[in-house]
Amino acid sequence: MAQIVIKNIRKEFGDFVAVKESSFTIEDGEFFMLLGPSGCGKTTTLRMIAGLELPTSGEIFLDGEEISQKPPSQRDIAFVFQMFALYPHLNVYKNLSYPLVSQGMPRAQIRAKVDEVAQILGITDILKRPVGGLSGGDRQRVALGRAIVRDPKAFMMDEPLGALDAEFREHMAEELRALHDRMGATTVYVTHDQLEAMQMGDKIVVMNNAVVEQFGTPQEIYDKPATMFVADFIGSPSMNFLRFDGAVAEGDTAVMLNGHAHGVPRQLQGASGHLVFGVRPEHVTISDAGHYRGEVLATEYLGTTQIVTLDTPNGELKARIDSSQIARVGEKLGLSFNSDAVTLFNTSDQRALRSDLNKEVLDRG
Amino acid sequence: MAEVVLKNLSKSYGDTHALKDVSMTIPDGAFVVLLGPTGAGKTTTLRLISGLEKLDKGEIWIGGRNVGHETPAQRDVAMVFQQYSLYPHMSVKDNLAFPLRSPILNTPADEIERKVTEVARVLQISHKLNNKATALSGGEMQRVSIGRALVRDPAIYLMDEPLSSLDAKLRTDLRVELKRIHANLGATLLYVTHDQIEAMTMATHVGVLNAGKLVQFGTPREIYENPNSLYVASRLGLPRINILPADVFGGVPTGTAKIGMRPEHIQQGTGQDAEIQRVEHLGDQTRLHLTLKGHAITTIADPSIDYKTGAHIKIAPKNPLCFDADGDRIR
Repeated sequence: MAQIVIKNIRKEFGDFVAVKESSFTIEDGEFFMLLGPSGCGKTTTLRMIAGLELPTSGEIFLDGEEISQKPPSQRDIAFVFQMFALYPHLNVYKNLSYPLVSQGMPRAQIRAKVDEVAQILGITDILKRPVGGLSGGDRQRVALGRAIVRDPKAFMMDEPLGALDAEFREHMAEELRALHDRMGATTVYVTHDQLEAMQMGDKIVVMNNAVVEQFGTPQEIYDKPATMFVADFIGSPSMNFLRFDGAVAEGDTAVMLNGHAHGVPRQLQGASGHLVFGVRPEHVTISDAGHYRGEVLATEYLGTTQIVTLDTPNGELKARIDSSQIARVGEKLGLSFNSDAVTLFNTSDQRALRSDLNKEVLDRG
Repeated sequence: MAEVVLKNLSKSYGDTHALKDVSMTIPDGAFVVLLGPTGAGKTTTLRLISGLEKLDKGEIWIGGRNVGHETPAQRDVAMVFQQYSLYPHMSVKDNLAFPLRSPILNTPADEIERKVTEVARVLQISHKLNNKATALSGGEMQRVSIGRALVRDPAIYLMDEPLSSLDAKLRTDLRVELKRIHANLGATLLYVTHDQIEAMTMATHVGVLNAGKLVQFGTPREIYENPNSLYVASRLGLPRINILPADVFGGVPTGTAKIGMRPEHIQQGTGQDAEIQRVEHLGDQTRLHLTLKGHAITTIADPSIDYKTGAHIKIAPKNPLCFDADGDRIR
């Protein structure tokens, strides 16, 4: 298996720039997510790693070897597409063995390999069945199997679960992840679903408008977003942005919001002008003691927790609180924020201001 | 707006029983969500009420009127479909005004103007009124198609998964918007979805359907906290409720075959030994996937604690739900 290093790759289609100078490293054995909205360049990036597109500039290293201009067949990477394409006239065994037959592998060896893969995927009992009559899950497993039999250095997956319904997707996501844990194969996975990325990924690259916005572990990206885009894209509901005009100086541990001081992690960077106080819904507490007040616009019951939407002097805000707490529409409630978990942003460049909370993450770039 | 009463509705398509003896009262001003997997009978119920399908058996009462023999137009219902179908050659404004101009409603021009303006404001599409319907994003088109129902003042709004084709972010926004519209208009709504989050967050009442039967009807809180069967308990809650044989933890009423533990209703530090298979960091919460005597269990943990794969923790259920061999709740 393999480490993949992406260095300053760029892709242009005519006048259109699909990917701007992007760099990140995928460690050996990682389950690595390329996440972003449609059109952000994530699929193009994946296709460049697989060799289905050639980068306009930049380098791609697979296990130390520069491969960016090599054809896909010389890269030893397997690709699983969004719509799993199987040969409809062949049975499961023949679908699985096809890549090996075309490599010219001896028959006995093919049989052993297919049996092994069928065992891993739990499809041994359907090897003789035509693929036409299979359930969606089994078709997906066969498609995966066809990628696995070749023993490639890495797997590329382009929204392999995108076409499945919600319940089944959840199930297959768990299965895929468990399979990865058993095989330890480096996997690069494209998705636009932030929850899927958080659930399955060891690391996530968040892309937007052809640019890498942030790269790190799921918890890092969630707790310490580097840009307003990441803060908004990750998390459901997303991070609250309370907008205010003011200034922060290096060393500050509080900012003024509508005449009230609110604690923030010690700031390591000054800024002034249009600023944003970013706080996640679960770090908002409703308490009568809070001087900062908001009017309840809506409540959404979610079982153990509820989401309360409030109108505050600095814009709309969502709080995730215990569902046993009572919040009535129209009521004015006091609010306080967990000061250790606040991120301040400068709207001029949409980036997070450095603080004790996020310095390590931001310094890494 | 009006109360809608369904009495013993049945409908078959050939050998398939789409609905079996479904009775339900949709109170005036309620937001009722029908929840169930594909094929449970949700959409059939909507189509029967709207008159797009004929009943085999049963009665439908809208505002005290038995509507069994009325045409869809006479029933005074407004339907929003999953796939928005707008008139592509018309402006947003004309699309919204279209239902009001129909010969049955025949609304005066100033009244049309007033209603269209009002609905556009509520749905936040006022600035797009003069756009062509095709010059809109997917979310805006779906808002227009909801708006086309809202301009009318029907006895009931029927909505068939109106948000399912939208992306996650827009769905979250429109959920709150629909709730606001319901509260402001005092409208009666019957809303079909297989998305449990929509059901929990928007509904005043949830009806859970299973294979053509209504198996429970109540507030979202009742359905979540007090399900009457294993089936209903498994329909709500993310991650799903953990179902285990009764003897794994013991200490349950006689006759219990299975227990259900919601992931958040598991206490740590006491009880049986479980191994951590995988830790998922979702930001606001951490999910632990455990195995206990060969059973997979999911629980929710404090994101600030560092859990390691392969480590062992002790767990015990907190107020588990008990079910008998047929899957019925034992209280």
